[in-house]
Amino acid sequence: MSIINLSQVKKHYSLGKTTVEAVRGVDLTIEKGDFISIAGPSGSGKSTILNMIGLIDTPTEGEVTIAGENIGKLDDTGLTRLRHEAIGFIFQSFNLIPVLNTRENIEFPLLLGKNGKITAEKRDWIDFLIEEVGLGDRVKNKPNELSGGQRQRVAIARALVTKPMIVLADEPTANLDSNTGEAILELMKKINKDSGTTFIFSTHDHKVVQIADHVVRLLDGLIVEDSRRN
Amino acid sequence: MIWRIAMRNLIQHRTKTIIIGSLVALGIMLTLIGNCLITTMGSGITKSFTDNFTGEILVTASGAKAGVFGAQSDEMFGPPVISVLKDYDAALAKVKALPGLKSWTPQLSGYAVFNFEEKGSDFSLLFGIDPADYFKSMDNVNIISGRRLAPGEEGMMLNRKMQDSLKKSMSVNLKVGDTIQLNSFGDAGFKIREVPIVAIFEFKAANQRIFTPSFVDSTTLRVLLGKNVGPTEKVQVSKEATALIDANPDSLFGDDTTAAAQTVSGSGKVLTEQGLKTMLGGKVAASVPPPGGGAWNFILVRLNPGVKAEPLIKELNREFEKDGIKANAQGWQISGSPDSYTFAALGLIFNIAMILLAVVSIIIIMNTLVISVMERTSEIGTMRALGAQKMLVRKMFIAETLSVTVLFGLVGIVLGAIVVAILNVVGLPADSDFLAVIFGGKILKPVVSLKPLLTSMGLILLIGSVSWIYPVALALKVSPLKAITTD
Ligand SMILES: Nc1ncnc2c1ncn2[C@@H]1O[C@H](COP(=O)(O)OP(=O)(O)O)[C@@H](O)[C@H]1O
Ligand SMILES: [Mg+2]
Repeated sequence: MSIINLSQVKKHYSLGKTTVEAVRGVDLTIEKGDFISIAGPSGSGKSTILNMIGLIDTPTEGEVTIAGENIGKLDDTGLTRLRHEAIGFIFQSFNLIPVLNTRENIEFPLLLGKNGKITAEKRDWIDFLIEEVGLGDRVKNKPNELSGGQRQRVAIARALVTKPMIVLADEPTANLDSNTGEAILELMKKINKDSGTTFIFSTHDHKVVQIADHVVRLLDGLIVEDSRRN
Repeated sequence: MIWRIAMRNLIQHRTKTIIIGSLVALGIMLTLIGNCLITTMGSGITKSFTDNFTGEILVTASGAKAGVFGAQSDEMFGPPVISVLKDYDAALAKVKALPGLKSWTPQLSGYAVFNFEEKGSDFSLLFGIDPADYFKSMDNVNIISGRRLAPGEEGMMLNRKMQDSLKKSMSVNLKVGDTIQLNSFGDAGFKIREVPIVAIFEFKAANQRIFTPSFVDSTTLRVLLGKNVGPTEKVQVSKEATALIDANPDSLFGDDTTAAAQTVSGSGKVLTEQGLKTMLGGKVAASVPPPGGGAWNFILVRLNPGVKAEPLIKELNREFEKDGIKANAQGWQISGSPDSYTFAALGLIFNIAMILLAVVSIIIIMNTLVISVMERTSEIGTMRALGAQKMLVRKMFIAETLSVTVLFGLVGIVLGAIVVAILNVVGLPADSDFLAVIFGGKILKPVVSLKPLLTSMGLILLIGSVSWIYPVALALKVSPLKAITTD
């Protein structure tokens, strides 16, 4: 079942008089439960594509359909709502809220929904996630008291807390050393297998691509390879 | 959650919070202190004028620009003209019907020359009163020597400031028991009258900066001013109190004369019957007694404690207009000028300063918030990316602004109240006449009252509810993309 569909998607940025064609006509289908890597050199358009899938940017041309909704038809409120329900983010520079501790950062997305109450069931889920990412002893720490790897683990737990269909990770290992980066990817893969959550991560590191079972290679805003491994 | 984040952000950015907070606290504190001073001064100056000179309501002839001290600034030369309240009886009837009326008293005001022959002369303001009535309404004098005027008695209570100034300027040493010659020269011709000094007094109020009125009985002043003398006074005039200055006075007027003698000053005119009538003033007029016992300039109205004058003044004026009564009711301010103007100007300056302070606070807070929005673009973008609606961002910044302004505003109120309380115990001395007027007394003991408190709170709310508008608009423009593009 496809949950993400890009058809003839183009994205242009105008910089004064010149126009940058970041994405130049991309067709892409992503299935539920995929663990997919968007690979390509810097500037090839990885982030731009992830941003459109993540509903924080819109295409200049073409259609992006997420969970059956054409995102071009949604206003800011609608995009925000869908983003909250369907998508979890893992950022390259972690983007934790500095004044909140580990547990509070993880629970933050739950407070944004219509039903912002933390129920006992939700609390158990948060506890489970904290254990899953291995931060049981760091619950009360603020982000600036955590290492890069620990911060990214918080971010992973935060991305999963709303049980989204899709988790997006734009170069999640770029700010981590390779061992830590590998561990983070292993963790993501484990959760993907356990929960069936779709993971999409981008990388410009050839080694990192190995872990994915669906690889999309970009060059200059165009797909040059779209392959599945079994 | 919003509040938790807001509070933690405030603590996180302590320095900024403390700077903004101290500004708010200081501003609110100064505003409260200033407002309390102004309010206390206001009630002080109001009280000293109403208690000492005007009553809560002063009824004058309609169109009269003058209060009890005479005409205002446009009258630069010569004695001010103070209009007679012709519709005295009709006006009085309306006054008597006022709810909350405590008492009332009529009064005359006029200027006369204190004549000391070769030693010189001086110009002075006189209040013509019925002592029984007047002092029942106005408990405004401290007798230094002598006694109050008795009802029906002709005589003068001399203001100590006038006594001092006469001593200084022409070494005239007046004391109780002396007689003083009063002259007047106006539309009604030149008049002379001699009265005994029955008292040296001073006003209880400190604010007799410019005016140093003395009291005389109403008959004496009426005669000097060439106004109608009523039948009451005519009967009550005693011969001892009346002195005739002109040559051969007894043969002219006899013992039971009501009025002062007079000469047509230096003109050498033959005394025609008409001229004589004019000069006789009081006596001639008395033969056609006006209703209500003689001419008056004013009715001073005292209200029961706590009764507000403003609405009653309006009501009186409505009634006067309705019945075609040529009278006008006003507050103390007309008589109180220029002091009331000085005070009003002071209040205005203070209000402008307060508004400037609020504007400056708002701008500084706004500026700090704008910086804070820019510093936190990534954080705002992240929240938006995680699914926070614009409303939440808005609420978060409002929460921060409101908690700073309200918290530190209240600190300002408490500090301000403490300062005012200390000033109340210590007291601010008025070391100049001007300050005495502004303070409405020799020492100012400001009190914290409701109005300044409400003003301060209103100011806090204003600052708290305006300063975030622009920064929040900026914050709302932050796109979730900023979560990624700024780090
Ligand atoms: N906001 C933007 N304004 C202008 N050009 C941009 C913007 N974002 C990306 N680009 C350009 O689009 C191209 C693709 O960028 P991006 O998607 O970030 O690539 P990647 O993530 O693969 O490094 C680059 O040439 C980049 O300079
Ligand atoms: Mg990128």
